[in-house]
Amino acid sequence: MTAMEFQGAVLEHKDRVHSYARHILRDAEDAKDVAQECLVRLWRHRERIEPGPACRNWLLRTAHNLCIDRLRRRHAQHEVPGDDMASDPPDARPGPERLAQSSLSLRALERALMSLPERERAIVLLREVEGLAYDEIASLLGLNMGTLKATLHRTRERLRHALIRAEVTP
Amino acid sequence: MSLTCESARERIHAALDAPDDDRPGDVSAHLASCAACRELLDDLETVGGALRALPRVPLPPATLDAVWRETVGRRRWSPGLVRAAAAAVIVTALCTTTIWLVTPRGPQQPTAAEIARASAEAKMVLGYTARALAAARTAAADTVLASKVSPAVRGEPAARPTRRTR
Repeated sequence: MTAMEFQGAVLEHKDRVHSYARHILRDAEDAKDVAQECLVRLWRHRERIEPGPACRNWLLRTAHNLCIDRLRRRHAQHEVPGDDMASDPPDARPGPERLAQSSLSLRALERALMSLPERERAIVLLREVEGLAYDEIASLLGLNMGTLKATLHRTRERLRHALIRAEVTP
Repeated sequence: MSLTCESARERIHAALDAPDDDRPGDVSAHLASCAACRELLDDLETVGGALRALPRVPLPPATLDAVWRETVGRRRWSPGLVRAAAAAVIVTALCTTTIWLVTPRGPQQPTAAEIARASAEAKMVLGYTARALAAARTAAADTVLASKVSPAVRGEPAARPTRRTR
């Protein structure tokens, strides 16, 4: 990657990397630091990174690793809310608890997203927000395909369940 | 054999990634007959759509400036760049020298001493020339006189007359 391609990659991916870090870390200052570190590392390793999807995946992988390092440092496992939802079975019942599309607010969605554990949040962000293929996510997060698919399916239903609960709970 | 809700659930998730046309027939048949699974699919599509529409959080300009400062702003000269700069300096020097050599320059202004010396030399040359002209004029007059004036006038012995024969 040349210097000019690096500048193009920064302009193309800076908000992607920052948003991803923000959603994983839930902290504006930490997210800025991670995004900056990530882009500076891209500059240092630019000789062996091609522009395009490979660059995007490299940035997301680096951002993810930097986020996990920070979360470990601040013992985030004790701070992440919503872990109690992990034991909730997916709700497949028909009935009044339907997700009303019209009332699905951005705030409720972000709150539901933030309630997920980091790994599930990372999977759903990479799949639904960033649009990565299954094999790209599996490679990026070091998961096998079966685990990835099962986790993604479970997480989608947990998000749905959280949003339904948020709507019915005053 | 029709699908149960439990077995249909996994296939509904898989169907989320596929266009409607590619949805397996047994899943479509189950969805047509099961309101709960239809609602599940609708909800999951709604959640997926909302996630895809999540606005990105822009990187603050100050952070982007810091990135530029630590990357392209801190660029050192690569060997190739050094070679290119050296070549540019050499070419510039060669061009300057060539232009200096081929450009015609006007006469230099003489100093006052040089003007005085040249003036004296010119006067001397003119004096010699005038004297030479005077000497030549005198010599020419003598030659003319020698051919027109009788030798007696000039004080020379007269030549003997020749006898005429019949």
